[in-house]
Amino acid sequence: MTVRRGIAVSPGVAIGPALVLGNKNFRIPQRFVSVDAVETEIARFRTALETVCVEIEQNQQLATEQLGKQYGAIFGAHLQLLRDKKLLGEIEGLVREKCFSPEFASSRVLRQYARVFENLGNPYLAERAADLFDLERRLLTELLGEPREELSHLTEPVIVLAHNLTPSETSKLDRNLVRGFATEVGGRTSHTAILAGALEIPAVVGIGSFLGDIDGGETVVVDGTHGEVMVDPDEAAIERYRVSEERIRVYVERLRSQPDVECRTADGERIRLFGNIEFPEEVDVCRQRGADGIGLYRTEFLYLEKESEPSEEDHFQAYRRVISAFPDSPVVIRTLDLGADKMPASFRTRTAEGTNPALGLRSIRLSLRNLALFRTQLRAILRAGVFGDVRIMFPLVSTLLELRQARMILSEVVEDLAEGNVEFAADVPVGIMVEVPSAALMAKEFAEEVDFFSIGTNDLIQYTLAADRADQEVAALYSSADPSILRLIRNVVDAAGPRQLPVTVCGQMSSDPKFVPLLVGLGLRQLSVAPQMVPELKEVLKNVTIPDAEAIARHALSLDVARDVESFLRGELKKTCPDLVV
Amino acid sequence: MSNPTSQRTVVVSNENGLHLVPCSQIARVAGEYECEIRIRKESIDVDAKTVLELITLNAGQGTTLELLATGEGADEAVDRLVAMFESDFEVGETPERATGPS
Repeated sequence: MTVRRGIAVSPGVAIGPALVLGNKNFRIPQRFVSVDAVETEIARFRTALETVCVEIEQNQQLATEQLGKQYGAIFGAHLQLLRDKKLLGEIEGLVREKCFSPEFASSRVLRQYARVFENLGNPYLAERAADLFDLERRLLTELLGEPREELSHLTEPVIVLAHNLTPSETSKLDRNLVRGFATEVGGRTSHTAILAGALEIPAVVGIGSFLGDIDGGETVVVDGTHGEVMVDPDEAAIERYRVSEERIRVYVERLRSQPDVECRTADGERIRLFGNIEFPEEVDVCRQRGADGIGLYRTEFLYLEKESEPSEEDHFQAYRRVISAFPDSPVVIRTLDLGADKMPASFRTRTAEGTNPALGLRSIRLSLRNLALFRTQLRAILRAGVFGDVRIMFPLVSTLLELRQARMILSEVVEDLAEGNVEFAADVPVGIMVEVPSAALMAKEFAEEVDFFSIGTNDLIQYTLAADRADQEVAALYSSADPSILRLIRNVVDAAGPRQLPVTVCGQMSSDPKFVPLLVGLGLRQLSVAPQMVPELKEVLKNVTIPDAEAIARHALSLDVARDVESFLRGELKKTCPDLVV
Repeated sequence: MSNPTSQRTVVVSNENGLHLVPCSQIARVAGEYECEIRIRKESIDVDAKTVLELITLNAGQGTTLELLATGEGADEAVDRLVAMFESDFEVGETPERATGPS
């Protein structure tokens, strides 16, 4: 059994035989045509183009009807591209003037533009190169007369594995037969990921090269909740997943139909479930699934989508949109949490080459070094604060000094704003993300100086166990169930207790049903989770009492290796919520 | 014979800037007119009728753009394009806004 990790883009679990989509580099049989064939070749190209356009129109209609017009618009854009006079002019020009075959000409021109997209220095636009490859593939398929056999002739359920799936392939996936998919490339903001989420097909992208080892037909599990793909899982794992897959699907559908039920434990304790979001538009999912607010609004997208630094207005508009969707609930805005390595080119001069980015200048450290950038964001948060219940969260705080510095900048910003005549919220609660072990260990001291804690388990695990989850060789060390992590969480909760500071856990751990009773047992009363998971977690909590949860936590803390904790928690979940056991 | 021209300045206000979907919407509308329509960002000047050129503007939220149309229908074309910018390309790839236009 091999386990691969990637980016979880569409939650749920799927199991089935692997269907590997050929990394089809179309072999173009003929690169040139004779001079007298030029006009017939152009006619052939136009016919192919028309057929592709009709196909895309059908996709557009389908996507609009089934998913909504914003998804249909993606295909509207493809259609417009294929009717782009510049594109057609260049392709036909190559056929006419250089006697290129239409296949060769189309491929060349589309690839050229794909490279242009990739080199604009805008990660969001660079992802759109995939859209051009999609068009290339469609045109070539049509010109070469090769229908996309694999996906259109499915007879049994499969898990689709591919280097990349194009948006059109994704939208056409037969939801009944394609149980899940995993791709080597792709990011959270690719059209493919967005469509997968809308289709609610479990999906993991950005796994890195792994298809080389797969022949097709192997049993594969795609865990779109945790971002894991298992190839050739052992008997026990297969059994676990197979029993649960279908049940979970049916069950979750039912749960999702009742978003308005408040989250309470069996003995009536109110637990707040907030949503983690990255893009303002995700507030819609949070509302639909019945989240109690936004527990973690990651603001990095604002910095990544542009070549220049976002303006105060950029921040303000995005925040205001999120807050307007939850005017009466908490919205926790996390300030910039990027490594200098991930920043747009304009920021890159600020980082040293060749150092370990995870341990380098990132997050709050970067903000404290770039005060103008930091102040801009803080001003926007305070201004947006007048529309609701906003809270500021500083990420990756490792020492009290950093917190004090950040708070000092914040109070300067408050003073500045007070001198101007803009409206702003002066008393926004301030918290830290506890994700460096030093902060977890010093929680008692931090508790004196913050209004809340949010435990960011993803980084906390990585830093505590010194293991990068993306590194196959050490990924096994990375576990939410590690006793050290449970102890650190307990330490933070205990430190917050006397002052009654709210503590939240965000990160993938809190979205995992088996960990939720444990977290509540450790004393947590609020969690920030992937919005899609809210209904399931409500159900889990409905089935446990606080004393049950405390007993689970006590027992888990008595175990000394991650594996035992993990299997104990799974067993407990099976008792309380058999339908949710993965 | 004098050629009607129309010129306006717009600011890209939608969240993701001029990405693929808005560019295709601009090109579609611009393509309905006879007149020449150019869009300029600083020194980059492109044909509004082609998505591939529009993309290269790489115009994120907050970018100021100059619209210039010359020829038949120039006024109407520019009015419609400006309205699209102002409505944040309503049928964007992102779900519709929960709040009113700000």
